[in-house]
Amino acid sequence: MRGRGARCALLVSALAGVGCSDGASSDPALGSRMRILGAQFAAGATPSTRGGPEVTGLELLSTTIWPGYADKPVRGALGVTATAVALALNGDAGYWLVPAGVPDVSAPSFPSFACTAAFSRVLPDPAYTLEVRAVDGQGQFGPPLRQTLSVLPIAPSRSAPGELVVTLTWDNDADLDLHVVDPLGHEIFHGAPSSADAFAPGSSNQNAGSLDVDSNADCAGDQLRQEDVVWPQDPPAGRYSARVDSASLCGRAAAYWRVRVTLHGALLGTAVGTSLDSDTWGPHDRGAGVLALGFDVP
Amino acid sequence: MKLGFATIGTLLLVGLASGAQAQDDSAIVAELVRQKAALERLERREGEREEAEHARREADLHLSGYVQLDWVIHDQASQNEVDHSTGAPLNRERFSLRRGHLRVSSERGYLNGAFEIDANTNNGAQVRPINLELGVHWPARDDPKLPRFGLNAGLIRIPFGFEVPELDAVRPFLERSTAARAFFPGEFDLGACFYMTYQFLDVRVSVMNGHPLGDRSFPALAPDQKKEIVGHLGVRGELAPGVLLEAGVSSDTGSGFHEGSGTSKDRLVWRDDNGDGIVQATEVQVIAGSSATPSEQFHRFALGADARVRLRFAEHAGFELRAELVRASNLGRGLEFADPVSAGHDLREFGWYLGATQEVTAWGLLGVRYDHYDPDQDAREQQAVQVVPRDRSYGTLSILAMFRYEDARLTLQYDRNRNALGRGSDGAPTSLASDALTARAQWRF
Repeated sequence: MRGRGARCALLVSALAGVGCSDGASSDPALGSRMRILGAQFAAGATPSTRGGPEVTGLELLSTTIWPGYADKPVRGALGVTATAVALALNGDAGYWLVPAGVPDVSAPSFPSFACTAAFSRVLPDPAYTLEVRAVDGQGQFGPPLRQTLSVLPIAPSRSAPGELVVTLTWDNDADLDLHVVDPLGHEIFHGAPSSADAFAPGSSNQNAGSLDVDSNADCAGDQLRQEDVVWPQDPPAGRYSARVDSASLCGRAAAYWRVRVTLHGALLGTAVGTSLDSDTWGPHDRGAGVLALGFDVP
Repeated sequence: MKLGFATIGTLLLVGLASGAQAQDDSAIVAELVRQKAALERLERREGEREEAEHARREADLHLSGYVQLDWVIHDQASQNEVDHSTGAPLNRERFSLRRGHLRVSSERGYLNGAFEIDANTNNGAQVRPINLELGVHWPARDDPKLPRFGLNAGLIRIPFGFEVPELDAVRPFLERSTAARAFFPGEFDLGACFYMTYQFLDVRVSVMNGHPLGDRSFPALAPDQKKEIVGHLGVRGELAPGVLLEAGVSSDTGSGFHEGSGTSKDRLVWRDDNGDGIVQATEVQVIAGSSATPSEQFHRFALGADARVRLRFAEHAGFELRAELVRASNLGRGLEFADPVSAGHDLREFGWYLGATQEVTAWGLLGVRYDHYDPDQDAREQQAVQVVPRDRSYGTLSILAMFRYEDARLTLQYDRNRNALGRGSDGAPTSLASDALTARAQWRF
């Protein structure tokens, strides 16, 4: 950045003696270990002065992160004079600025902030320190609030051992949907995401199958391209069937999919197939889709 | 003796008759020769006339064009990255073919036409029609004593203000001002234009689709039936020896288009809030789908005023001052798309520029221009516990130095840009650094 600034100053002074703008950086900082989605990146360390407001609350839900974790919510409350908050991860070349928002119900007297953090695919250290500082309207930074984040070596598996997992993956931004019918006749899909008995009082989700996400719904590409129906424990014994419904190819000519079933961590079966435009015709509700595979759970 | 006289008389008569016959024949021959010569002259004239007509038609087809090659030497916003939402590179420091225009035009009697294509590499290599118009005009030849009327139709220049219809190869500054690019992106739209010029007066009225070539939503298309009416009333005259004034007022009224949406299904979203990798009921969120919404139209308009003064008291020492301002509502189509349906209020827009150029001998020209564009004068934002006004305006100070030689130009321009796209340490909007230094080589033929 220093070299760039010097070059700019040289060029400009050669032309008209007008200095370059010292505005905010347009660097997306994709190489940072932490990125705050939609926030402004500022190069360098936060100022050492501490005359600004305090961070009165920080809510992370968990203090674990892992390489490639892209959706970690970070929330908090700030001192009454705060207009923004700066977030930095130690070892990064800069920090992120997020404007303060309206007070949260949990702290109705204080401005709040809420953002989503994404972490690099490369996090070599076992732990990092998240530093959060409130900033007031004069640009004065307050004292830092620090939180240690421990790093898991890999992302936690979506499926814990001993459960039944049916996974659909595909290769592009098409909108495909996984439908799984359990031995009791419950069809689990985006229109009925759980086999729990219609949210009946006392019903447990632990032995019910649930769909985790409707990926690429309405062609809103989310890069997941994966849907899972998961039974955390004690899946009902009997015959299951898994179907793949092609809601839309979203402009693609075809989508290549794979369905994978694991029981207690062991592979129970796989199936592959191709969705074509003709597969998108007709309704996409209960009973839709082509049969990928059937399997038995003892 | 009587017989003798009779015989002599008869002989004389025969002799006279034969002499008259000989005279008739020679007259006929002479007439034939004359007619043949006349015919040859006619044929020669006809041939010459046809050749002249052919040559005239050849001369009527006028071929012209220009090439602009850019080198962005430095741009503060340049990044060695790719915009993952569009796939476009974020590096701006590059060589590019900004414009390469080839124009064929013709004027024959009361008819005129033009076809112009543009080749550029602004967003990858592309060749596109940029001006295609057919027209009629009266009188056939310019006569300063008569007004000139005309009607052109096709892909034509938008007759708003001074800067929008100004030729790219003539304008001293590298690009139009921010407001002109925001209101009239691409400068060309499909439609028809009636014009009248007479002495100092210039009147133009166009009926157009309202979606110019550079429109962000539907370029060169027309999603709605309503048409845009654009007009310009201009005057020009020499106020004093060496002082030329051009001024005008413009208006634009039409309708914009807010795109509706199709039916969407319910969505299920899992957000692993606690990062344990396990789906929990509290982490699964159902986002209800919605039924289709129809598209909507909204009114938009613009009023503008423009003026240009040229002072030329000495050869190659001309000074020119140009200014223009535009007050608009919901017209932004280039830089930001003005959509009052989404914004919840009409977007009051304001733009202006002031520029000056000074010739320095026959080979040089210096210029400076400042432009300002505010896409929403009523913008507000939440800042902590308060809702505060937000300045969303853009401003650019351009300084140029040009070297000219016959039909070629070499221009160096520095643009100091101010905007509200970044965030300062206090969380308030501030400029995203994007100053740029650009060199352009241009050849016109």
